[in-house]
Amino acid sequence: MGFGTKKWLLIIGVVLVLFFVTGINTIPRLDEGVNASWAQVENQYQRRIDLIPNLVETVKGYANFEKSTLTDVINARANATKATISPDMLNNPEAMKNFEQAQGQLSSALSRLMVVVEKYPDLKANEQFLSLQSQLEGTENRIAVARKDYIETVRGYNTAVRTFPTRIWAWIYGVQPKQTFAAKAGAENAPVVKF
Amino acid sequence: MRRIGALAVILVVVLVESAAAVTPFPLLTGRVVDNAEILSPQTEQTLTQKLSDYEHGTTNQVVVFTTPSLAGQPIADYSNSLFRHWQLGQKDKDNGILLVIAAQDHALRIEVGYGLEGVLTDALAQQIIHTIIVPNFKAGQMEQGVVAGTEAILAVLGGNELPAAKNNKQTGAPWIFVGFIVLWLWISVVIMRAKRATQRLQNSTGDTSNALAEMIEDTAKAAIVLSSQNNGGNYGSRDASGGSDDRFSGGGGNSGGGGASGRW
Repeated sequence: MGFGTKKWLLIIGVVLVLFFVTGINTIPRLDEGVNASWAQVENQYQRRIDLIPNLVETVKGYANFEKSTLTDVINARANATKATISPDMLNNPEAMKNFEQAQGQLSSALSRLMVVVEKYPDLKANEQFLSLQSQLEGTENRIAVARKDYIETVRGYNTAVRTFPTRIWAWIYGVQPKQTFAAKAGAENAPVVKF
Repeated sequence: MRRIGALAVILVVVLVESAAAVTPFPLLTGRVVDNAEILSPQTEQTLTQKLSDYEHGTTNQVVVFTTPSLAGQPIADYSNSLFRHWQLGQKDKDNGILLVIAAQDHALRIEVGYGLEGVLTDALAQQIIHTIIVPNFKAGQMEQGVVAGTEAILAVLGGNELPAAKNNKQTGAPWIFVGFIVLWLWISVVIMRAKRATQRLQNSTGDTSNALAEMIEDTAKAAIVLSSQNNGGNYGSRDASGGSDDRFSGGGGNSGGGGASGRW
């Protein structure tokens, strides 16, 4: 009898200790991780924004280059510059949607520009343009990696916020799940099977 | 009683399954991992020696990896995942470079660690790929392409010698390895306990609460050990493997997708 009670008390004790040992730092630590990976996402998007003026200047030099494509890029860049998210807004679906929209528009404007460039062999051979192109490619790749990392850290954070026992800590801290990216960048390039 | 027994069995199955589901990354067998077998043993050896000497001088870790196929993955994703899995470059310096060549896919990539992005820029990586490696590959000179490309990478890195050639730096054995061992030990202990508990329940001789209590106790102990391991960031000394190059391993470096890709 006495032995059985002792066992149960031990179980409760262990569970309580576990709760405190594992819980108290989990949410803040994961939160910092999410903020850091978000900073990386914004860094890389910023890097892309910074490349565009040079790109536009280089392309502009070519006579009769399609004006509309360039204006699209310039406008999309202006919008993307305005759409930034501070870490404390990461649980705001509206802000995230705006950010995604602005950056997505810039992405498509840029890829249209790259398609148009195909028609200008001189430009394609321009050394400065080639250098900018490789930097842009590299930046797009870094964006993809940063987004992947962000999705990963947010998944960890949201799991902690939504599951026991860390859920209790989330309630104590009063934190909300954070927004993540809807689809993986490059998912649109996935092969489509047609019948 | 029977339900608890079934629960324990499910637990065992889940644990075994999750332990088995490890992503199959190729092993980092050395500084030159020639899984596509495009290098002669002699070339592989001289290249390994060169890269080894280079790391001892600069702490930069350069690794060459060839694979027959990427199994449908984009080379940029693949290279980044592999770079991170191998943790090339020293921790806190992230000064690793990974040259990936996928023979059947006719794709290649120079993946650059965070710390070397400023020296081996995307544009330079692109240049190495397009002016040095790809022409060789197109001419069917695979081996020469790999060697010349690696030498070009070292040349670019050497042109801007990093002011960091410390020999006795505490880096090395990735903590993830230690974590895996602890995790594996913990899982096997839990499985053993669960098996024993299941047996006991099946024989209907044991006390359910005792068996469960033991399981919870063990889990708790293991969890505490595990968390202390992780928090400690247990880095082994690299000196053990520094002298001879038999047990080469990544130093804990990271990459954010810098570098360039190409095709031939």
